[in-house]
Amino acid sequence: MDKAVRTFSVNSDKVNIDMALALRFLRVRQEPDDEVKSMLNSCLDEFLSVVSYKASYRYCDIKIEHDEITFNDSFTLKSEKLAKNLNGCEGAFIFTATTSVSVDRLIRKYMELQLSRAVIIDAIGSSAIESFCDLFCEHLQDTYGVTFRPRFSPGYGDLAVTYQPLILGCCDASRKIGVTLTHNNLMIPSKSVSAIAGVRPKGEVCEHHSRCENCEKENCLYRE
Amino acid sequence: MDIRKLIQNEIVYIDGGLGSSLIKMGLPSGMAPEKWNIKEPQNIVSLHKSYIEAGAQVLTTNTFGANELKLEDDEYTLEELLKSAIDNAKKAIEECGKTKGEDVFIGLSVGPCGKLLKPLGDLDFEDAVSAFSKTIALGEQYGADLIIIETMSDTYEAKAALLSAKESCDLPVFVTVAYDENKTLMTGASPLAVITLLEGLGADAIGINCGLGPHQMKEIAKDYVKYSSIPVIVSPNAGMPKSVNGKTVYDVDATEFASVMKEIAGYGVHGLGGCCGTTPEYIKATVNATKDIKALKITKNTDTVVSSYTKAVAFTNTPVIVGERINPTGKKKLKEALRERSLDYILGEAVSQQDKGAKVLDINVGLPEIDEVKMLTDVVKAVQAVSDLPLQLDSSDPVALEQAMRIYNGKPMINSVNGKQSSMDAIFPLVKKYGGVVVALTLDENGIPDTADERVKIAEKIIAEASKYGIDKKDIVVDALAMAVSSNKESAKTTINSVKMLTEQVGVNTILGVSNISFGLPCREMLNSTFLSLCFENGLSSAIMNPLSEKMMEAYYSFCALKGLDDNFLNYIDFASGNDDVKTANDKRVDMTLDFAIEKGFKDNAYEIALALLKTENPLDIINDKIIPALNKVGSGFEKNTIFLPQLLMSAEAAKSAFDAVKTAIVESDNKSSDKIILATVEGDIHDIGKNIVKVLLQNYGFEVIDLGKDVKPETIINAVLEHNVTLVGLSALMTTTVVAMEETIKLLSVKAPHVKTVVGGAVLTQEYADMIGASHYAKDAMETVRYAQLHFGK
Repeated sequence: MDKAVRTFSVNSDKVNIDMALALRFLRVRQEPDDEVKSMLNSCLDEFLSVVSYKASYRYCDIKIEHDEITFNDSFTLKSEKLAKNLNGCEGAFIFTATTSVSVDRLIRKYMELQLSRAVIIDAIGSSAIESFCDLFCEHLQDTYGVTFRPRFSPGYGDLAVTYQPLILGCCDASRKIGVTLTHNNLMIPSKSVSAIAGVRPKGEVCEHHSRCENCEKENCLYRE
Repeated sequence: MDIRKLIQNEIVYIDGGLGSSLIKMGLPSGMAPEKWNIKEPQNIVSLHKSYIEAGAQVLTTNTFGANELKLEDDEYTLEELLKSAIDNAKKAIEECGKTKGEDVFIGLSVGPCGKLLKPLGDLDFEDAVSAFSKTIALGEQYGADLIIIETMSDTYEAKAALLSAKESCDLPVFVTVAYDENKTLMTGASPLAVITLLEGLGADAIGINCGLGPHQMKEIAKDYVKYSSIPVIVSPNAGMPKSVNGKTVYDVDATEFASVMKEIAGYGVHGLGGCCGTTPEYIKATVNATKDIKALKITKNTDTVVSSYTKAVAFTNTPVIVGERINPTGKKKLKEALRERSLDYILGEAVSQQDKGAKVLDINVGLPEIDEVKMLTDVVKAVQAVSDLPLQLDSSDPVALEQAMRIYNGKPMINSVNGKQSSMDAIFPLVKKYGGVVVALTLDENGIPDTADERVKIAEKIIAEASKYGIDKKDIVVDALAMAVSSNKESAKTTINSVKMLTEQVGVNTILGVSNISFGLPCREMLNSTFLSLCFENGLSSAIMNPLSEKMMEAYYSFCALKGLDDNFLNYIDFASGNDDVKTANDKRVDMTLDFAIEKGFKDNAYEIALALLKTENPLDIINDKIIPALNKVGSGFEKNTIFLPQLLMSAEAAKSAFDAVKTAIVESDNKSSDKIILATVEGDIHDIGKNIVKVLLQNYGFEVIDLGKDVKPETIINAVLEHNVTLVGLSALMTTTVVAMEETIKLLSVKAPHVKTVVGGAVLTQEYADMIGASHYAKDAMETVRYAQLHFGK
């Protein structure tokens, strides 16, 4: 496979946002009442009117030695968990995906004007970027005829967020899709995901646990 | 030869892709291309030479990422990278037997700095300016012939870079930006908004590069030629990358590229080049395909246009409504809001005016007792965070205007200049430097003339003086001054005649603060709205007025409908049906109790009901017997997990609006809380939604919150503690990495202000973590912070 940076985008109606996940981010644990429901719907409409899903990605050959993974012979990440996740893979896709800066702008606007809307749109954004990543990974698997290991992101397990400049740099995220980092390696736009997805032959069954099952943080407020 | 003149009159060829060509030449993946200026100079020289041989007249240096914010390591200094890059270009020109600055020009490539600017990102505008300035000044010093700011995807960053170039060198500046397939920048700006901004700031040529292939650039290129008054550059990618036998190739070949470029040149584009994937072959083919085309003459766009970071507003046929409500003159509530620095109220005014049809917002914060320079920039930044309308910066203080024009994201309106020499001397240099459309008042050293003739003369004098600075008539909008008809029965006629003459004879756009006309008379809206219609009919281009006034908007929408300015009457019908909605909604509001409205989160109802209750009940009783119990019910529901966060916040907002209503009846002193709490998201963390939730709830429960914002340094928190004499500090952190900053803050507090208690929260925090870093209390959610604060203050 060649190593060019490519981009992917879809219309907002193609992404099926998991509203149950959005509610979990809002810590709503039962059927919301009518007022909240109508608020959720109007926030969702407004979110859909501004969101713009984009991703940039690059295929990399990988070499794994103990807990060190080297991508395209150019940079190395150290993480036991990631090395385990990629075990047996000869390549991986590195990608960054985002809902774009317009969503941040909308959240910021309501942060000043009506916090309840900001909080709800924030939760919808968090859920939407996950749904978009799912769709995008499906697309890559279909396009390249491969199967992915569960995608793995910096800040997860023992993969340090200080690797973010390398990961975003690898898929030229700032130039291609406008995802930048703060001095503390947080992504802006805030509803963005960067990840590594190990490649296995098509048809192989990779064990995909839910994100929560994979996570060691058992006292998390958002745990399923 | 001056490149400015050359590109004005002829087609100029710029080189093609650099980074993509270097990768082909073996640049190791992951290495910054700029390093090859020193490591493999012969490769850079040879690539430049190929472009010169292909016919490129402008070389872009291998310095796209040479920026102090972007340099990753200290292998080479910025100086070394820039000098070597320019030396390589010089060498290539020499080896080709060409003359630098005559046959071939060296363009210093300035790419994005890789950070997003505030308010969305964490890079300060002035820090961006200073980083770009450093690169650009060095570029000039080492011998660049021009500056090429390229691949910008954010108007604010493009402004910072262009302003840097204007301030730190004397070279010509070309600016090109990158669009996506939606034909907007990644940050949302339309082509007209970008053109308006960049021309206003004095770019010598503007255009588009990267992002798209030549086919997709055609429509945008047409827009650029149509709307701009300066040379346009187009440098597309060689289409999209595809994979052939494991190698990356681009899907538009040199021949196809050149044939599209020929078409694009035919639109009147003067700068032709290439970006990712293009090679000397592409440029050669483009030169061959277009060498016999004569450059079309550049046409001036005479439209008056202002812009924000996404939108442009043109003063064409439909009159432009400028919302006047953010101006303290005669507005008690706004004055109070400004004195208390309560931006909420101002932002609410911004959004409601936009909802009601304003196309530009006037921002005036002038009060004798406040620091107007700081306040104006703060309010402009805050309003730009909630509204995408262009702003009219309104101040009599040139220093305040300059600061606001500098940080404003877009091309603003400026209110105002007048015919006094001193005013023109102060304002025009600012308009020239930062760009803007300036309101020109028809008064001078002798005051306001009584006749239309004399007002027109002053306008002509102002226009003539502006042209000395190179400020075009289109960037002036004349205010012929509406004066109280009650004190001079001719005054309305004079104003209307002035508008007519200015429109027909001078050919300049006009504006009026219409409501002055009715000063001193009853039923002012009646006069104002008729006056507005009369002025519109005589050519008035824009009105500074209250868009919340139904009568005024009726006059506006009716005028547009009657004059054929409203296609299919869509705006008129929308306005008319909107009014019906409001009426029915108001009818519904009566049959509800205040506690129900708060519990259910009906914000507007809560306000109306509280106002109604004030007629029969004591304000403090309403708070203690109705609002607080309703809040408590919701709060304890939240604690028992029967009510959830969205509902809690909706109720909090409804309670706040009920408080606001009750406040109108309370003497100020009764209303001040002495229980002050500082809140901050710690240094390094930009997640402030959780902190804001806590803030709203604390305020609901009567605490005074001093909100220090996000990414707050420990020292700032200590200083605020000491200054405000605070005993409780709430700290928020979302990331494990930023809990460290929380710990530091707590440590510093324990030394400098040991009496202070800390309450901490945030997604990653736990009781153990909080204990470990020495916090006084861990709050798992916002309600728990409220409970702790109540305990702390003995409530």
